[in-house]
Amino acid sequence: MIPLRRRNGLSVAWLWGVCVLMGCGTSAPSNPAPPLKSHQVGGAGAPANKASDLVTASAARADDWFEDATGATGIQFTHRNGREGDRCYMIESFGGGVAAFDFDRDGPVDLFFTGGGTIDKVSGAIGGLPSALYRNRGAARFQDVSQVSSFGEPPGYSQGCAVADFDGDGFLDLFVCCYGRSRLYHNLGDGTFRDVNPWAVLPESDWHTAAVFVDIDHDQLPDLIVARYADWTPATDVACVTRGVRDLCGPTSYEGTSCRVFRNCGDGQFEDWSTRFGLRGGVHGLAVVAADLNMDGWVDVYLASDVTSNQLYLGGPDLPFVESSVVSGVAVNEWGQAEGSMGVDVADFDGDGRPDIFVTNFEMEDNALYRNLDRGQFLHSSVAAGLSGVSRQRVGFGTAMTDFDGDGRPDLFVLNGNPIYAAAQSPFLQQSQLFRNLGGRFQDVTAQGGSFFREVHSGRGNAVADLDGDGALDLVVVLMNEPVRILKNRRPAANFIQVQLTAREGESAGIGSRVSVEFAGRHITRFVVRGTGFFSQADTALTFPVAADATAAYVRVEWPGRRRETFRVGARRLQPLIEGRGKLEDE
Amino acid sequence: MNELRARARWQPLLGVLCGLVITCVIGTGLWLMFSPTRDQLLEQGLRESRRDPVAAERTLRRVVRLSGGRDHQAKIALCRLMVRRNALTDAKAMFAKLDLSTCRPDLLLALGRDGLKTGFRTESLAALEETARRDSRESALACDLLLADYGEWGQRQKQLDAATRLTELQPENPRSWGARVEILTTMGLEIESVEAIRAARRHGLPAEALQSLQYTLVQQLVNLGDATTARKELAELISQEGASARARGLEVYLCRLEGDLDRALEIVTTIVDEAPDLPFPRFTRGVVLLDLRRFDEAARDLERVAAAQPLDAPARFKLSEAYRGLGRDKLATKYRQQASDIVNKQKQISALLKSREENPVDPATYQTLAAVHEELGDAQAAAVWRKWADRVAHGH
Repeated sequence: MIPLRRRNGLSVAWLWGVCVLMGCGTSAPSNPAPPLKSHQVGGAGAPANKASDLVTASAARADDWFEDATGATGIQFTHRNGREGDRCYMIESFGGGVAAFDFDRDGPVDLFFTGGGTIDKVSGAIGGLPSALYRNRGAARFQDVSQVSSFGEPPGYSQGCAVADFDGDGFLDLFVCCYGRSRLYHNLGDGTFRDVNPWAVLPESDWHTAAVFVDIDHDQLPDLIVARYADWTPATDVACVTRGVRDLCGPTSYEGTSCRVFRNCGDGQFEDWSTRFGLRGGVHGLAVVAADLNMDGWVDVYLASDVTSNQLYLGGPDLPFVESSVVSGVAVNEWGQAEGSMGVDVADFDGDGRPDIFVTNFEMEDNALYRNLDRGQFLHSSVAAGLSGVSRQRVGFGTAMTDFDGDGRPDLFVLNGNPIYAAAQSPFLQQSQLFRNLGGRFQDVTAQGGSFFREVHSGRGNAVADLDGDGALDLVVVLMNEPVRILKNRRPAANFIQVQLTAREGESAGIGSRVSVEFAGRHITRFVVRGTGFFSQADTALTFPVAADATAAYVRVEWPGRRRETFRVGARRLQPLIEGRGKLEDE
Repeated sequence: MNELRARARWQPLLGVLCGLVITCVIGTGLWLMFSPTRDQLLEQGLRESRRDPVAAERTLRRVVRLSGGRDHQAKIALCRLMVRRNALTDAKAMFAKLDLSTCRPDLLLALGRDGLKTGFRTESLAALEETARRDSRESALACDLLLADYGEWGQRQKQLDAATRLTELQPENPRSWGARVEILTTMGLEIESVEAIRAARRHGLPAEALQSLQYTLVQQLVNLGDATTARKELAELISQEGASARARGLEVYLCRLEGDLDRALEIVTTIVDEAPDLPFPRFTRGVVLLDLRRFDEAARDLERVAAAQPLDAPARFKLSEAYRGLGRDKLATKYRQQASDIVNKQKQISALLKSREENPVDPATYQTLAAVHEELGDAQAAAVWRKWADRVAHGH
């Protein structure tokens, strides 16, 4: 009999055993946060600890990369999953997300958090909790505008969220994924949002986990791709007992399902184009990212799936998109096995100008780094990048492959936490991790991450944005049943430029564009990507380090499938780059 | 005269009567003095059971009768005799009336041992489980029997429970720790496996056993991604027994974990040079070469492994990756498909083994297992499962 390889791939035992030779409201938040409670562990870098080992309080150190600035920002919000109902419903596993976007177009990045919901202990009824919108008044000082912006009323049990200007009025709108009816909130431009419910075809009761806006039919309007996890309802809920403990079920308790694609008709309505898009079923969809991954000028979509193979849909001039994950090498792990994939980010980690993909995974699996080999081919490269083994005693959810230390190389943030309350190998509360990019290889710098990295939490959604305009990218993290945290980056580059693309020919955000700057003799390349992290949307502005004495720098923009332009951009400020206003490369 | 005559007529009768009474009284006294007690009868029955099962059964039934059906020692011994003469229906009926908690551990063990040989499995396992729970001389033996039986029937969790109990009963026995660690490893419970090895080390096991456990510890630490501790343990192993092939093999995977691919390649090449025909080191070298994006060399090694091992899915998948890196898409597709076919069959096998664990007496499971192995091209395994199907179909 041939033993089936375990989830983490080929075990050493197999090889060498045989080879013997050798909530919110302006004043009173409706989703009130309990007092901040830190769960500190003995030392960063130590294995994830059980909750009983925890002590409280954690102090900042001089060399910390991040400082927990939550208190100073004025943000007090907690996403809740309904655990108090003691039902162990499948939807409790995944927590909530955050969107970092400038909803009022006043410059600073604002924050939106999904609220989650409640589960009644007696009846098992699922209710929604209000989401929250925080307006950035500048310098990362936030004001809760949830009530005035019409987020006072809870949607369904909310989880992920996505942002785009779906109607082209210049203001970014919001999609909130729910168990129940997901919501599309139209930004009216006056600080308020309206639930527009354009879903002639959307079931009233469905479970949407994550979503991304992307123009699939090239009509310059963002369409919507919605990830789904399972055809789950309380009536189909499976009671799982692991090692004698009633706990949340794993993904294999439910059949995979198919995601959904909705075309933006342009008249405020969306229609179901799932079939035309070419969607395949059998996924437990948790993250969906849009970027030009094979650099052919067409935006592609990558879908992270829990336990079943991840999917890559390559875009082209016409529909359908072509599912190419297997032939591109981004479907499975280094041994050919599907993993429990959660969050995704895209960045050029090895400085070759090509977008690489990073995926967070379940315990006893490596987080997957897929190196872009060109020609639309990727190679699982976690081992070569020094990331093998470092995540096996943790479950990764949120992530960011972002240059946090201003050296031009994207570093890695992994937000950890187990979805299983008690019965898994690793604990529910875990340390998150930070890795410094040394030039295609990563070094674990969790110990220097800051107080947050010395604590244990059950992390889920995350977003990256420069909240205080200092050129250093900050982190917003959503935790399970704990207040959200704002981690201020303490490692700003000596000098920087920041750009926000506005496309004229394609969808306005310029998704799929490639932007590069020269720094320290290297080409630094960034990509305009939507849907990164977990259940979340990072700010789409791009930040580059530049020479300390530079007053300006040249930025090269490759608009997806269109022109290449060079812009001269002034240092130390956010500058919009409008398609057609730069110097064309062919000129 | 008449009165005298009548007295003379009754006198002999009275004498006989008195004699009878006296005899009865003496007889009863003697019987009370010399007849065996119930316990003695039980012991007699147990003794007889070795030489004369028929007499033993008679004696034990007598004990049961004398106790008004309350002597569970006699009943379990009787049950065992029924099992031995294959009267399983009677044995089951007798077993159902037993209160195992009051039975002597030696009798429980004896029933368990004999029962396992004759298709009286469920009841035998219950008897052995009861014995294992006790702190008796027989408990470890019961654990051994349980370990072997659950292992044979693929019931891993129960096998693990037996092994764990065995290490509690015999903490100085290296074999019990070895079994427990091996089961944990097979079950993919790395953390528990590491904890078990660390616990074993506290019990003064012989050096050889400790070394074997240390190899497993390094393997498990590598699986867990704990490179620092694995490196420390491996250094200790190498200092004790030198850089054996096994230690070097582990070091290759440790180097991969540490991201030191050049060193990994250097080490694995020494092993390949020593044993060029062994597939496993060559496979590992192919893996490392692939890490280094030396696709051509990786493909060469992996081709040899795939040719030598027709059922090796990882080798085929890695080979397809090497060909993908070389831009040879047709070959990449071919090997990827082969790997996928094997993996799908293995998944089927895995699911069947799980069903077997839940219901080990369903012949259909074994027949399907045989069929899937046949489809895989593994005739040997197919034959084994077919035998199992027969065995289960015949109640054994």
